[in-house]
Amino acid sequence: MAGHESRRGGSIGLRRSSSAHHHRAGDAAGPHKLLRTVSQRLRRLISGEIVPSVNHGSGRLFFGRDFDDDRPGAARIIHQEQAIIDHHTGKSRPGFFLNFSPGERFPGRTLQEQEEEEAELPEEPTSRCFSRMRSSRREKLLASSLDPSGSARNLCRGCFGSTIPPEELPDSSMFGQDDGHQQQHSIVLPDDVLEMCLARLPFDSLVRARAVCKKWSSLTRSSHFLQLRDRMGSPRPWLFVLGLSRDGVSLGQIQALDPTLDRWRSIRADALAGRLLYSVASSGSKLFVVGGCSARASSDREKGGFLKTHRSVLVLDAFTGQWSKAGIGMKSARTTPVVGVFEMTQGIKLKLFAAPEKKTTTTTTTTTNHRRIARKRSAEIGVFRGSSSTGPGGGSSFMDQISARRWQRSYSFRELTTSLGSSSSSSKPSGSSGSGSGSSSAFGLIVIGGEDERNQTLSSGEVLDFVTVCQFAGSRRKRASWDRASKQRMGQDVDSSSCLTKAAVIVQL
Amino acid sequence: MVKVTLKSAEGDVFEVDEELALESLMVKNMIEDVGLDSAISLPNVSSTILAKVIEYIKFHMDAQKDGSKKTSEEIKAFDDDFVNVGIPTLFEMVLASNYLNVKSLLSLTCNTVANMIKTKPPAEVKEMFTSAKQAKA
Repeated sequence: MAGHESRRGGSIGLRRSSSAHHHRAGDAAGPHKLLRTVSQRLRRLISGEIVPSVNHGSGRLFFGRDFDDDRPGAARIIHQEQAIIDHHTGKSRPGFFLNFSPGERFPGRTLQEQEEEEAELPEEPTSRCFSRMRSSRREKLLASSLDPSGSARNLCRGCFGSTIPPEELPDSSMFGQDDGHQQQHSIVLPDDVLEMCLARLPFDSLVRARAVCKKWSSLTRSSHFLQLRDRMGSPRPWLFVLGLSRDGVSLGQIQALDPTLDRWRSIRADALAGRLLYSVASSGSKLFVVGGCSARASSDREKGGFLKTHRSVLVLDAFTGQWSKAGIGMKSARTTPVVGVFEMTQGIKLKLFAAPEKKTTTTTTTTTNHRRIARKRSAEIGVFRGSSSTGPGGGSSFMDQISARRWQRSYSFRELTTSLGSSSSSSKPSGSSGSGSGSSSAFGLIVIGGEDERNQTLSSGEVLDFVTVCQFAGSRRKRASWDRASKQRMGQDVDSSSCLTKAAVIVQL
Repeated sequence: MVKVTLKSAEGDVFEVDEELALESLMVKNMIEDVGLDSAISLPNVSSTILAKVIEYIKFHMDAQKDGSKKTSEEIKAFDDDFVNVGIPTLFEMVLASNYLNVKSLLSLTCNTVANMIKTKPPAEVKEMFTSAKQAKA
């Protein structure tokens, strides 16, 4: 395991290589720098050397780096480095360092093997951080704490809005027949006051409050209420675990951990049933399920393969429990893309990166450390104009922007890197008001890489959620230790053979 | 010290320091609009509630003064005791603090209501809101 210095060195090396091509950004506007960095990383992604794992957390962007040590065959050492880029300052600092044992590959290892390996991991100051584990390991640990009795499950049913259709709720007659109008001799809190009270509830209680009557249910799902709640500062991180499967079949279910109550909840997610190999990112209370594939009808098998790879991005608003699709979906279908959400300041064009997996040619690429033959992918970029008018916590309306706009198809990867990197003048995000210093913010979702069914090996997709883990741990002022994340057990067993698409994200509720 | 005259729904008159009255943004606006000469009429606030609101503001103003020896525990105890009232009264205080626009009191009372909702299952919450109605009726 390399020390701190070498980590720093790696990071600097990256930046040096960038300065050879571009103007030094210095303390330039964060988003410029951010996008430039993303494009640099993307370029290296093409070489196959770095597979970024991108995530957002309070204005920072995290990258994972995978180094392939060029050993023949499957021998593979993955050094996972997280560079933390604060896009306000544009400065990056190295995160932690992770060292997997040689020969380890994703996926396809049994949990037993991992468990043994796990036991051999040296105990270090940071090794308790569960972000250091691959997601499958986390799953295993999760799985090991499963509760067969499913006591949490019973509670769960009514716990998320999606499980209680409003029409099944009692009428609001108790607040006066005419929908909250004051009756004589009754104290009725008007809606705005009631909202103020309800906005102070933690999400768990809020969901129960939704079951009180229709009016409360609708009241607490409005965007106005969400904003109010954001202002009150009550959203807290929840840990969402996706990709659960049993007997090899992906379950239409999400498990969510409420850290304040230390209790697992089940969320029905029919949209995810049978879906595999998707990627997940979160922003605010929104959760994005990007790409993935699901089994096709067997009659189609001869035509296009057994699995259908999805282009769509599913969005779960965990706050309202509503599933929706983001716009028209990505241009390319992809499985296990690297996705991330990052924060943009006001007026900056959001750039959404998406690398299609199909166009592959072979070329020689020179990178800082390696000269190697690598598959080159031409990538495409979708662009959103982030004309954000959202306040802090603007993730809530990010999806509105997504659905309002389309993935633009006319940009190629090369064009983007040119425009971002060749000179500072052309690197301006066009049509926007320049570097935002406003307090308003929006979030960008980044989707990078991905594989179709013909091109299946992607090791990096497994390493994720360093950020969310850290946020999660930070919120509890505890060491980030997965096995200590909760002593409670998930309401659903996790199938050991299904470590392919595990994902865990934090959702603010 | 300039005094402000507040008139409750029942017509009772409360004379308070201007400084205290200004804690209510609503009263503050009224004073700015009509001046201090006439009594400020608060038709939405009953005498008992208005008295409580004044008590609350007074306590917190005293607690914030430099010479105050009140600890945060004492303040907390006061707050807890202050909202330890029946649900109808509590609701009236929520409404009054909303109407008078006293942020700290509104926050306190709303939190109290939220805590009540939080700790009860939906059926009891329902009951809570229903009984508030009945008790008043």
